[in-house]
Amino acid sequence: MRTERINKEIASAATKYPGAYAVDDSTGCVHLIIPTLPIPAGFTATTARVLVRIPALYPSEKIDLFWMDPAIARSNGADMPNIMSRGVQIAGESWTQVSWHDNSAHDPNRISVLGFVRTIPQWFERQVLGT
Amino acid sequence: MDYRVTIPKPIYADIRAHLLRGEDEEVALLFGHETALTNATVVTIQRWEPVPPQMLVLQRPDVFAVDSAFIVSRVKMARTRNESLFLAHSHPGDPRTPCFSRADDRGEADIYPLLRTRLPGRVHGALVMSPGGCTSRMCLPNGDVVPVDEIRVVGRHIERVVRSKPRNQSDEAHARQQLIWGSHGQGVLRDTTIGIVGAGGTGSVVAQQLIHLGVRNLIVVDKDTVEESNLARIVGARRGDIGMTPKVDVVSRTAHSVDPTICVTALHKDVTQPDVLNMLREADILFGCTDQHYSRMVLNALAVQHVIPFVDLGFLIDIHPESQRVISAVGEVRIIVPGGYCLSCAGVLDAERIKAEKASPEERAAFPRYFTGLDVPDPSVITLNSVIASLAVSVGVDMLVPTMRAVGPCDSYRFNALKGIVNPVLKERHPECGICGAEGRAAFGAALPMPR
Repeated sequence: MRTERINKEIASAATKYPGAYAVDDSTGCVHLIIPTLPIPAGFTATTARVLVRIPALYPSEKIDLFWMDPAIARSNGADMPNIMSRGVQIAGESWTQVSWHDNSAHDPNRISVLGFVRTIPQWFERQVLGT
Repeated sequence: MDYRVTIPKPIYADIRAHLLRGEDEEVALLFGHETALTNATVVTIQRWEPVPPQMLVLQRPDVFAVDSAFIVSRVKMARTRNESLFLAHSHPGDPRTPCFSRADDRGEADIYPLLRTRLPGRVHGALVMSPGGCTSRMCLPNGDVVPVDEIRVVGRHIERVVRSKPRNQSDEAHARQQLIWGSHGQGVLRDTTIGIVGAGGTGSVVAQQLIHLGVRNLIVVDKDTVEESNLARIVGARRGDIGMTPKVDVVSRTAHSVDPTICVTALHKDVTQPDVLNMLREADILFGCTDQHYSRMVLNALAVQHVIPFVDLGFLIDIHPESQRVISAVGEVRIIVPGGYCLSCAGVLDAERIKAEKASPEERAAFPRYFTGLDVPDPSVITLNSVIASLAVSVGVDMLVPTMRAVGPCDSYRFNALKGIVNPVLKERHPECGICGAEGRAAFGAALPMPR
């Protein structure tokens, strides 16, 4: 069972990104999986399958990092430097763990899951720009 | 086995206002979640709904009947939300503590089979309220109907609307304080179980005071062992404890030196472990005496979820890096209870520190630049710790045995050591808080996973 707040945020994500769904894990975290998140040009696909971990005590705890489909690569074959680890098993799938931190001041009364998801394309932009 | 219904004060006040609003019997449905403790089954009421007049097919000063379609629709709702259901009604003309009538017996005999069929494996029940009091009973999953031993209303104070067991306690050891709160108050303290998380500079003082006050059941949690630097702050610590004795065992020793029969559950563990959190659900009040934000976050959620009053305390001393002078020395006691704020919406918790404290040693080693400053010791001194600990214990005692009501509403106390003043502070709660707000964890009991 999840809190109403988390259920509503997942529903909002599913409205914004059709096909999005959530999987609970044994620690109380919820994994939001977005099958087709639009990403900038410069990759082997125009959308990415991504996973966001909503912590058990969200929104006291902030959302940090995300995971993506291991098949996503730069279209020019260049490396993506901000990768933390590959082959991470979550919710029965293999994922690539991405270093992506929201460094803004944490306000549990204002943050949202969608707000975090909207920042993910910025990570892909940075891989292309090499920053 | 005891049976208890716990109701957050704001919900109880609304239910009472509805049920006792007129001369006819009024009806409400209460929805809650069950938690199985070691010696008690507790149902926390999480939400309620008045039965509207058009859904009452019969309504008189001595009898009522609810449209069965309304009941069925609400049972369906409770099924999707994994809720227990209590049927509450009033005996508006009864000035005494009410009893269930024969009509009530018959009505419940009709509804319990429906609840047990549609909402199986859960505790359900009934509650009757009059101007003179309140009575409740539970229908257990096996069909047995048992009286509720305690209806506990939790707000700034813990009110036992129903309490079947005698609580008076009179003894010479506590004679002077019994002049303040009487033998009844002393009995309440004796029977209370208090959880203390952190047995260091503030926690050991909190424990010491509770022991001397006559509290006989303590659950003390701390994963650390006494270090040399602790001798200046931990009450009861000895040189021989250095590197040997868990801090919780120092509390235990202190307790038994005062009274060998005090029950101290000393948990030399991390508070975020599930078995520790399970044990802390048994507490009537929690004291948070930890300087860790991760521990605070978990305790905050546990308290909100299980409707346990939580007194969080801490002291922060800032020292100018060059002049080495104390710039500020402020301690705070925060009172987390239903209807008020929580540590999350009040912005007390530091998300970056939580992330760092939660990280495994491997993660810290792999990404050191994200996890700096964790092992830097904070300035701390027993004199100032004791002020804030005394304030916190006073608040806790007042929740059980109201003695400070003259102070007025207050949900935080701030002690400014440089100015030498204590100020009561009102903090604003955030109604949409994801922890204590309407869509958060409040009163969900064991229905939500254990916070960690």
